[in-house]
Amino acid sequence: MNKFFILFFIVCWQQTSLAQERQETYQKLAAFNQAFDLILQHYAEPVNPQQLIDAAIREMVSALDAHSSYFSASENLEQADKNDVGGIGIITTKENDVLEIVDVIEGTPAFQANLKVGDQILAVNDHQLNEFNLDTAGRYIRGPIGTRVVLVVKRLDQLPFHPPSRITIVRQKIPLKTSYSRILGDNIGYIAITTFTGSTSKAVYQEFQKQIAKINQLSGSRMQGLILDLRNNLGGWIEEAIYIADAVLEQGEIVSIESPNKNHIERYQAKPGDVLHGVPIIILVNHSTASSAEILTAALQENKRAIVLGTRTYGKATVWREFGLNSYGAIRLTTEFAYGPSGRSWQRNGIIPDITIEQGILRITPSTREDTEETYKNNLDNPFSNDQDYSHHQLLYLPKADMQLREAILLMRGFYYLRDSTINKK
Amino acid sequence: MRFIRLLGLSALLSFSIAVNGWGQTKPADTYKQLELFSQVFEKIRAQYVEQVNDQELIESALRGMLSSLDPHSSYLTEKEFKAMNDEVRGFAGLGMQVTLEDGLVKVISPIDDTPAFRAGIQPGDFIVTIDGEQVFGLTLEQAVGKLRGPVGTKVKISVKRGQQQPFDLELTRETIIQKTVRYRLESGNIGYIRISEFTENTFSGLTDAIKKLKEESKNQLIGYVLDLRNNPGGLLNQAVLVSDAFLDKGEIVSIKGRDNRDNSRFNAKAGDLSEGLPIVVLINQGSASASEIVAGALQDQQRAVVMGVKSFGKGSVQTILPIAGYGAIRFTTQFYYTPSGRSIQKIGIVPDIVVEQAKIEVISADKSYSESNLRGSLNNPNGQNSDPTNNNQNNTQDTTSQQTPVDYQLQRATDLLKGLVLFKKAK
Repeated sequence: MNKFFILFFIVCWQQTSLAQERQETYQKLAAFNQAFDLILQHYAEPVNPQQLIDAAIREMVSALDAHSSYFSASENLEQADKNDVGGIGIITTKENDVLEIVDVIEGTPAFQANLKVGDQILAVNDHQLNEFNLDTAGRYIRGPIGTRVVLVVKRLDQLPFHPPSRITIVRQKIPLKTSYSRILGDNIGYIAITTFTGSTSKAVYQEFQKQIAKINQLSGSRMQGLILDLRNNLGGWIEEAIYIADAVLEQGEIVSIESPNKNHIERYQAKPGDVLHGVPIIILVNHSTASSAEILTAALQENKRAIVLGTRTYGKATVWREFGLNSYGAIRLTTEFAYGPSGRSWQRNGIIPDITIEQGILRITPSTREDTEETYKNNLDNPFSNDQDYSHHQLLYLPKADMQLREAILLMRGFYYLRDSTINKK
Repeated sequence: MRFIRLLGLSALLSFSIAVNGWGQTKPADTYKQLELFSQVFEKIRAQYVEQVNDQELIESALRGMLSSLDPHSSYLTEKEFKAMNDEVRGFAGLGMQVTLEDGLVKVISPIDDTPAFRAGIQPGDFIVTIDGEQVFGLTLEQAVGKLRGPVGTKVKISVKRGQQQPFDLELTRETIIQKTVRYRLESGNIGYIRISEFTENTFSGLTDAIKKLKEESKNQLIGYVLDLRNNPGGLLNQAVLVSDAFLDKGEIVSIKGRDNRDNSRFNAKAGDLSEGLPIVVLINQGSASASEIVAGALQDQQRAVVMGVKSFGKGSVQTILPIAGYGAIRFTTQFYYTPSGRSIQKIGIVPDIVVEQAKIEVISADKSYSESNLRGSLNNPNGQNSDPTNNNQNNTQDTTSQQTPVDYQLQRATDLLKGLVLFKKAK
């Protein structure tokens, strides 16, 4: 492991003695100094030299590319304690046009209030939730730390005629959760990784491993396949993406990182061992799957370890690093290019899914006919029994408001049924 | 009522058996009841206010008796019987769909690969004379009757096309049967086969389709979609042959009547025309009887994944018995059982993967924001940049899927086959 792994790492700017070939550069800097002095002395109004320097650095860095930027010292501080918003510690889905809890983070207010996976939230602070305002539910639930939020909850285990419960919860600071998981239908595992930026250098990878262990436990180690949801994952630390790719790859290159400035390419190879023992993986991506999430996607797609489903990804194949500027804040610079195992760069173009599915809502077309054998008068009874048990066919969980996840589940189911068929070898 | 069709090949076999048994060992009670019927019949003949037609009375009685049994038992008049026979077994004719317009027979369209088709008959042609007789003044039924005739016989027609002078053609009648199998390549390597009904030519249509699909794809097929949606059924033997085409061994279906003599079991013969490639069978509520036999056989043998919605649920077999001088009686003689021994009567085939026919309301994602739209974004080092003003440039699949009317169920089937190949190659 070396420094190229690191995306956010802050390296102190070293005042190295610059070589003679930079002599010319210093002459240009002299011109900058001159302009700076002139402004300070002759400008019509008094100016703040700090602001001038900030403006100059900001403009210089942003002339480079979209991801290079400058943070002044004051902005840097702001970023550090931005997180004073509280929550209750649940992860929800609106896959079926209702807000349903899919995970409760241990030790959070929701966990203490005994909210359970499968509970449905009908209202937040007297805002009734319906299919039109589900997206804003998160905003209703979050709020300043220490304030109260009132939820109307239909518990999964409550009897149908029982009225929904009103639960008051005090918001707290919620620890960063980088992934969550569940079982869908017949032993299909589902893990969503929401970011590759964890609280420690291996937090995302370790949490991923925990999710696998949880799915194995829930399915009795009979996982049929894994749906890895990287939608809306804007990236984070490259090394986390590499660790996770390595966890499911037996061999092959994961990614290569090229530093054109240093004329150097670093290649990362997978070590033997696949925590999933070869079960199929489907990766869900969309337009907001970027950067490290694209590295993981490309690594598994090009090694033919996963099928990529969804819409074209964002298209960021560059790596940036952050450099602290003594007391003057920091600059973020694009330093390297990332390439998939086949040497492909997805910069600007994004990764094209193997199966393109637009996100959408399912609107079932009503059947044009109503008659079946059963609707006929005078029909013959089944020689065995009219109501045989086909409940095993209904175990399949299918979301109606998430077409990409729906398709992934259908594919997993189909792979299972067609696992013995041959493929054309020609 | 097309969907209540499941004609056994056993029709003919049962016929001879039934004749042997006809009129034997009727208990005294039955004679009494038949006598009652005769008395009522005689009374009506003698005293009804108007003169009645004996044959019509008997046919009505037969109709009442048979339809009291179950929805699939019925009496067919001679005309109904013939029409059904023509449909499933074919008839001798020229092979064109016609209508009557301005007193002349107008061709709607010739059927592929028939005498009319080969003679170059075109849609919109008018037939003015048949064997020298003017068509004008005939009913459509009379005209069609003259066009048809025994196989191998010749018929001379004169055809008027547009403003041209009528010209004469001599055609030889052949057995004409509607095509029941259609096929096309999907995505260049998926064989899509649609069977609309099971008639005498279904199996040959299927083998032809498979052969052509292999050729058209240059032997690159990755799988088949067998579309049985809204297929009301048809001949039992054709359902068995179609199932056998995709199976190498094992049971296809067994049929059991009240008497063991009426039982039989059909097994697959060696050889799988599809060479083990994955198959997705599409079914819906309009898939009945023979369709359910095929879906059930391929499902129970785990040869295919069945996709769609629950099928009709007709688990019975009918036998047709022509009655000399009358039409025919059709009545339920057996239930059929899929290889695992289940009956789907009133239950239907439950798909392995339930996919309703549906439309997707696309949630318009904010596509304006991506790396390629950022001011000063770095170029792709491989040298292929997508155009920032056109986000769909490298994503043509997106645009086509939005523009063409989409068969959601079929798309799921083809996606599954595509995905399966990717998954299998990964191993």
